[in-house]
Amino acid sequence: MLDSKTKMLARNATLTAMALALSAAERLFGLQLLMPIPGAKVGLSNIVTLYALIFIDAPSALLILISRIIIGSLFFGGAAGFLYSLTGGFCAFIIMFALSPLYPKRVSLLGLSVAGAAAHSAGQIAAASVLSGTAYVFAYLPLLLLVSVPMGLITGGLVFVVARRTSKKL
Amino acid sequence: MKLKMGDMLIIAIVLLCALAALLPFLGSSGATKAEIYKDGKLLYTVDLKKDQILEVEEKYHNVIEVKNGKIHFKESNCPDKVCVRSGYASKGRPALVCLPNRVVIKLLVSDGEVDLIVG
Repeated sequence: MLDSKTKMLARNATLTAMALALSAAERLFGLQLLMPIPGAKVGLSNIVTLYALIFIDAPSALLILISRIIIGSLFFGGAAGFLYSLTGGFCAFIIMFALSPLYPKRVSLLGLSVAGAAAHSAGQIAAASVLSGTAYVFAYLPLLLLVSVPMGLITGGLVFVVARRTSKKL
Repeated sequence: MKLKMGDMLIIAIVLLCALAALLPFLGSSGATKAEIYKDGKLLYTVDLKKDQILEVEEKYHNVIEVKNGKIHFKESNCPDKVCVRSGYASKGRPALVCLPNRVVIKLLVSDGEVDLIVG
């Protein structure tokens, strides 16, 4: 039998790899083809973050998120992309973590996911505003927030599907 | 899978925030000038009444065109080209951004214009 530490390491590494594959896939079939808004995306890798947060634990979820962002930026992003993702990802995590005690009684995976998506948009725009030195990037915020509702519902629904397939108690 | 009360509350809050974030950008129009910034530093002030082509040569190469009083990113060799596909700056979109190049085009509302008169 594997001891639980080894098991945890293997599981977290697998989830990180899955999150990376999802962000790579999203780069190929991005939402940006439909909507030319900087930063608009489906946010598929949030499936992994939310899954880990709810069905494993918060430290694992945070670890997977940060590893995914660092490795992902080494693969495809630049320094600026790294900062946008890190700020957005961190904001999304904080909000979902703060709301997670309400699960499953008052909020479902859908609500958590929408909140995370919206927080990601806001954090990303805030980072872009600091980096570009102008508040005018906030002009994109209304659209990004609007888009984060359907996209959050999609990714939240996918977490639900994944959880059912892996026979987690919902 | 059904939406719970909390979910609907979250969605409502996000939509309200989107609406609130939109407010500062309503009703700004009649721009006759635009400014082009790189990293928050003013590079050019552009007269929109004059058709012209400007080039910004930084990490990437942006070609900015002014035509018929409107301004847009005409060409760019940045990886995502979101700036080019964003189209023209307008009332609803008073700023255009090329994030990879960190270049921002911002419309300036003409001097002395009154935003709102109450009374």
